[in-house]
Amino acid sequence: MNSNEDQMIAQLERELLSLAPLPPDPALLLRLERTMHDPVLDRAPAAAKVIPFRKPQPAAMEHNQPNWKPWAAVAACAAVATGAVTWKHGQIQAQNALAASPKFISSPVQSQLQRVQQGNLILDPKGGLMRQMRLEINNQQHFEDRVNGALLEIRYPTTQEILVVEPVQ
Amino acid sequence: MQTTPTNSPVIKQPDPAWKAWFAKHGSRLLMFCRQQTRTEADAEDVLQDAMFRLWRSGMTEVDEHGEACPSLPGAFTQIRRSAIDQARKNIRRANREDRALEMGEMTDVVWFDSTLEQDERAAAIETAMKTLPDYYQEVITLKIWGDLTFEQIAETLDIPMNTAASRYRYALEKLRRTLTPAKLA
Repeated sequence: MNSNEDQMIAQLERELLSLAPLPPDPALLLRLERTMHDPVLDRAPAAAKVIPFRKPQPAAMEHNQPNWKPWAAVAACAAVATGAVTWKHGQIQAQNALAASPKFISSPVQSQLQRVQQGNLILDPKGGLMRQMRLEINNQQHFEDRVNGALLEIRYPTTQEILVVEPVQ
Repeated sequence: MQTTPTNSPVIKQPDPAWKAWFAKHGSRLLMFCRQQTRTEADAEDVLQDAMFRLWRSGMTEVDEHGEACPSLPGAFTQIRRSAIDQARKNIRRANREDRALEMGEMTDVVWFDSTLEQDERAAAIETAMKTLPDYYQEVITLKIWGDLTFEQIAETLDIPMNTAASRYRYALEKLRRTLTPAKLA
């Protein structure tokens, strides 16, 4: 290795050092903060599990794609909880284009949605997710943007259990 | 869906030390996540998972003020493990993203926070970095932007220290050749 090459590499190294990594999006900071400091997780970090949700790639938006299921579940839970859709006879009756068809929602999720309707289950109202959904439930694009990357936390008020929606493999 | 029981309701307040630590190191951690994954969403997911693992592991180190803080090398280690786990678990997702990549939908992932005059050069460096093999990319990322020593890099990547050092050197040489002398600032 000659000294000229060494100099050029040193120059490149300095140039690389001058480039700062792009900082995290504020939404990610909020998401991390909630994960790290969730009071329930603080109580039982080894047992609790929080899974991030994100908007699927366009290819996954087709209804037969596995990742559509948790997405639909999130949308459905939120929609039912905010009153945008109603639960009747085991099916979600859509009041706007957002509502997910029940055939894409697993039966455990459907049973939880029934509990939401019956008042035995609450969606965690804290944080921006639920507030934004209440405001923007009628705007599908906004809704998708807001839910993208957000956490879904559902808690049972009586037992303090956490309900976690897991991606369908 | 899955229900997970919790213990008695003892609510803790958020730890401000963690926030300060993340404010200081968040960018470099996310940079490594971006290098280890293929999309911004994947990088964010990996970072979240790694931070949770780090927090749960209780890995700490002593900072310059003599106070305990989360371990930075430990964070990089958890990021790498999380990225590997994610890749293994999401084969089908990866296949879909491969298709999306072919459609050019993931070209907007940006690594650097460059000023306007740096934009072109930063983009050239980023492009050149991404042409390097992964084992070169990760060593450069950890060394330059992760601020780790070769010993810490070796531990994070589970490779000998000499290998870490030689990969770093070879990677720089390869980068230098890609970014031709005429393009050097």
